[in-house]
Amino acid sequence: MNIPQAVITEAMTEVLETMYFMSPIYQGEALPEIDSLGVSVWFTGPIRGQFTLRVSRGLASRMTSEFLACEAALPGPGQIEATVRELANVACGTFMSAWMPDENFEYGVPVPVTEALESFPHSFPVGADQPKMYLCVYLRPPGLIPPPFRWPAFSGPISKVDNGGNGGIHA
Amino acid sequence: MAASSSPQLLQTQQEVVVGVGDCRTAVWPVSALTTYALGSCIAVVAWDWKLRLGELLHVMLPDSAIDRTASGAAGNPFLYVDTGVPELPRRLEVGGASKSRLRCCMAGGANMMADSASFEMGKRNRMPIKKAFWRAGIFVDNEDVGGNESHSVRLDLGTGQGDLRKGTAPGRVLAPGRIQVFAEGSGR
Amino acid sequence: MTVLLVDDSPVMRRYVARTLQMTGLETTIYEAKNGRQGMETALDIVPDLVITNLNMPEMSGSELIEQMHASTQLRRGPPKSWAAEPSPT
Repeated sequence: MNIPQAVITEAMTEVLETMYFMSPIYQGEALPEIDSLGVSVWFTGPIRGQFTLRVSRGLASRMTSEFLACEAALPGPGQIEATVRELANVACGTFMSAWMPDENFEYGVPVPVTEALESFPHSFPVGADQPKMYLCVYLRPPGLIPPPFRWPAFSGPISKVDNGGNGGIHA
Repeated sequence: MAASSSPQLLQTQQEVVVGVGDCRTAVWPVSALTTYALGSCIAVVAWDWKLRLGELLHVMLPDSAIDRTASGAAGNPFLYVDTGVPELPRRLEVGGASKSRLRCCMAGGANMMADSASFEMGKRNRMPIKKAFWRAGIFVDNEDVGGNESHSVRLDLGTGQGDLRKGTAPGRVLAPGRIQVFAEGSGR
Repeated sequence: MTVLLVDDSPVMRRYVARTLQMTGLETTIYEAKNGRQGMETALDIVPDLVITNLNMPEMSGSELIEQMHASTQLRRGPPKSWAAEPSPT
């Protein structure tokens, strides 16, 4: 299935500019080896597939500092991974909505991935300054795609907790 | 153009015109802060609704790294987004403004070059401004950035109303509009 | 105004909290990392506004909204929600 480059580039541009104050520049399909964080979001609907994002660690750190309005030296590994997961979450929805605006999809939670990009056929990099960020959208035959991971449904009413120990974090 | 290290709070003039690479702070009963012919430049406007204290920054380029000499960013930080925008909240606070009461907007950033797709100076100015405000913790209430026409902006210090005009010739108004950001005496 | 932010992502909670504070609104912000914790907190503080993600562990945002609407203590009319979710459906 052909994925229109313009659609995915525009979707990533919207997300990166709005949330991270960065402008991606399409660089072509070369995929150099880089130390990176990979996150996937599964989706099901009229088609099923996996939206995978791979971000170089240096860029991920910089994006986190922009997102949280802190200096680049301050974000911890947990914050960086959480930022990339949120990027994948929002970028997947933005792309799918732009690509198939009249269809409804269900999405899984963003999960870390380690598969090599070479195994993803529809991959093209979107470079945002240096170092580069690479984006892959991979569609597998429906029979090979597991159902998207979703949290199990909760059952039962909730009552007020008197001990206060699990209350919300007062910001 | 020499930049002042601390803002001169203008209180006696009727209307203050802000030029390219300049930043002016004024308080009511000064009637307005105005800047013309923005082009790819961007005007950043901030107003403290309680004090009726306003500031208008007319910034030209995104990154001062191209010229940190005395004739560039070192002499006039308001030419560049990265050196000028952080000055804006600091100057307002010197004047007694509160960050939580500030109402901000920005306008301009037009693509004035024929080959606008490759240059996009307006767009290059806009993003660093948004980032600088995000880092400073100031909410940009509204913006009118882009297009192919030069903008003029006027901030009424008494009401906080921002007027935006588009046109390249003095006195010629193609599409008068308003930055609907500040209501008279507004506060939250 | 009392605001309850419910999201399993701490960076998103921080992002939304910062945005709310930047608006200049006088807010007291509480956070919860899942729907169950969100419900417990909501019963405790009775927020004016709840901003919740939908896809979360230990009770989704949809389930949280249902529970809140079913609660006589919290229900204040039809829920109006917008949430962090990939598809704007």
